[in-house]
Amino acid sequence: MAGSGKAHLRAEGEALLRVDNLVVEFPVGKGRVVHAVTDVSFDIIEGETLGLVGESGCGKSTTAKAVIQLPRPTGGSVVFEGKDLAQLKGEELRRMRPEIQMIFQDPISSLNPRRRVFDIVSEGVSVWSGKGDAGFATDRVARIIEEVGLDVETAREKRAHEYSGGQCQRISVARALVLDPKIIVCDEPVSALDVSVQAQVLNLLEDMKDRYGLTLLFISHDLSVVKNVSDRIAVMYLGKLCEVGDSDEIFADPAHPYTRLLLSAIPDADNELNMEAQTLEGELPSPITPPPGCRFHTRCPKVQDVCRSEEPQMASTGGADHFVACHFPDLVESAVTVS
Amino acid sequence: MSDSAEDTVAPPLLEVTDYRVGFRTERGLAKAVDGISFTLEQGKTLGIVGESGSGKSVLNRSIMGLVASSRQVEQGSVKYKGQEIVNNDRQNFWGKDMSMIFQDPMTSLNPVMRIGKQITEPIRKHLGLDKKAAIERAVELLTSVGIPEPAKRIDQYPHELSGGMRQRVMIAIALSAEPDFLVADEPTTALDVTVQKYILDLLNDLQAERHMAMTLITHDLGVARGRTDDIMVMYGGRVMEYAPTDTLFSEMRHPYTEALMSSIPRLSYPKHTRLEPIPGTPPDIVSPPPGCRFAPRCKYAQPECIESSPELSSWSNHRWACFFPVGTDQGNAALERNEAAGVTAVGLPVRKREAV
Repeated sequence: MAGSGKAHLRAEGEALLRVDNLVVEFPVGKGRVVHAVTDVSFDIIEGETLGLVGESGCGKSTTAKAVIQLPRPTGGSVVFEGKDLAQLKGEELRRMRPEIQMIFQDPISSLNPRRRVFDIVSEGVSVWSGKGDAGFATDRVARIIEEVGLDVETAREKRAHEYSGGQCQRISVARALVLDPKIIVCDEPVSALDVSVQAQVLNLLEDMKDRYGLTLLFISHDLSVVKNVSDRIAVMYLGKLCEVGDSDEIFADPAHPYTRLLLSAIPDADNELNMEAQTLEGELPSPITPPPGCRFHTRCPKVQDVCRSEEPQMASTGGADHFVACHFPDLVESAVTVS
Repeated sequence: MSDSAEDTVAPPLLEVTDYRVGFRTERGLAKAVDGISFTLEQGKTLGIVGESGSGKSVLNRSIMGLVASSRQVEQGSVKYKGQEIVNNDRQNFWGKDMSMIFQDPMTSLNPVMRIGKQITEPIRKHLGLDKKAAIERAVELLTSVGIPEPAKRIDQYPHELSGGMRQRVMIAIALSAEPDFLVADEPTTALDVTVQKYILDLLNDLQAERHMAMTLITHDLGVARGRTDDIMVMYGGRVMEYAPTDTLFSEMRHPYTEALMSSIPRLSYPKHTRLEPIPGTPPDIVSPPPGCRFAPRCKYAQPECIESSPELSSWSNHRWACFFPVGTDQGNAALERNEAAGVTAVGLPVRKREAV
């Protein structure tokens, strides 16, 4: 896949978070390096939800973690409110931490089972508010616990292990919200939940987003979920972005062959692409020695010689907000005739 | 399905009648499976759908005799090819007659045993082949499940394979002794969508090739659709609805099936569509509510639903256990009553549906 390029980025200053040329590499000994994320750029406007999708091992979680500087990326910049987080150090970086919070995949193991829920949620406030306004902090914690749909008195008494998976994810949401962040990074927040509970947590995230004017970076391998919550979607493959754009548009007219294959695999009754008899052949290549040119060329049904040598750049498909990095994208006919 | 005896001379492959599985706990008997009946014919696939805790896994594991607990209580009848197997040792059925694929391919293989050994073990035991022939058979099996370079793979350990590969190895092991009945317990839940599609297609092909019967357990209605002949929707250890797959999706009757469907984000929905979660929590199976198990969470619930438990209807191959089925006059009237009152008979608030 694809590629680099920044055609899909919005004007400088317009975005709340802008990630440029992000590179994350992990040394694995003997001079070998895992190229987990290579030259990825994206931006998020205030109030927007960006969905990051891809198969396991494509680098979506690594990207999310690089955004919050845990660990720091190998290269590139993560600009938030005019400051490059990748360059900030020590106290300066610590000051930024409340602004970007994270919700993790496994709600049960991301909470200390033996602590009282109220204490878990109020930990951030007590770190940040000092001792001065303890009363205000307690009120705020109580209000947020109520807003995520839990009982405050029970939360004071009970410990995290006494709650179910769905409730634990509500606690995680409360813990992220309590510091009044601008951005919440959600790494597969509903993957471990049952369908009915998943709907509750997704609705809760949408409600909280409206109420607090949040901006979300939402990572999931479940494409139906991503489509539902996201304004914009970025599709990743082997450490690179292949397609970025409005979520309805990408699902209606996927331009990248990989996106097409990914979408055609969704077992959904409404899935028209599911009728296509395509399957993704072969295995994901090793990120230690990623294929040259377009990284998807080893498995692409439309592969040509140019794909093996030259990396495609992000370019507009002609749609309103739809960009693809492919030498031979599937363009909508109307868009082709216009250009 | 027991009424379709007109053209079947031989007994059905699997005939489950009023099957109950309970576990003795300190609080009392946990009724994980509470009176379930179904029939599975050779070559057919039954999808079993429900939330966690609905009893779908316990049902299948108990049928296979895999629940090794002294606290387990098994009642009712399960006939495999006409032979009663409840409370009998089922070990000699494993492999050749029944086999199972588990949810997590990462933990169901032995991490310190080579792939080849894990596949040849059942082959040698059940088919009585010698070592060399068994290895040849293992390579054939790995080829049939789409594993590249099978001759090399048999010398590898599970950790050298990806999740999708490991699940293919699991399928190869499950099919090694050519079973007639395969239980696939959430076979793709731990896998990526693309791999999921591959594995489901593979299971479909292998099943058609071997004329094998299968139960596909899943919490994903999308997976069950298009891969199954019939679907059984379970809740709180009971069958809520049982129907041929197409019928279930075109005329679902049980409010639980409807609730399950509307809680899933669908591709046809525009972005930011508000989902309709199922309110409340799954029932306590030790002391379940006296009436319909789903009544406390059901927006159709009427006083009748709290007092008595609806039986599974039996007049056609589409069955449901509900007094006020979705899409019928009784159902619509019940919903209208609840919407007008703003609350169900159980006390669950109901908001009026917005016109679509």
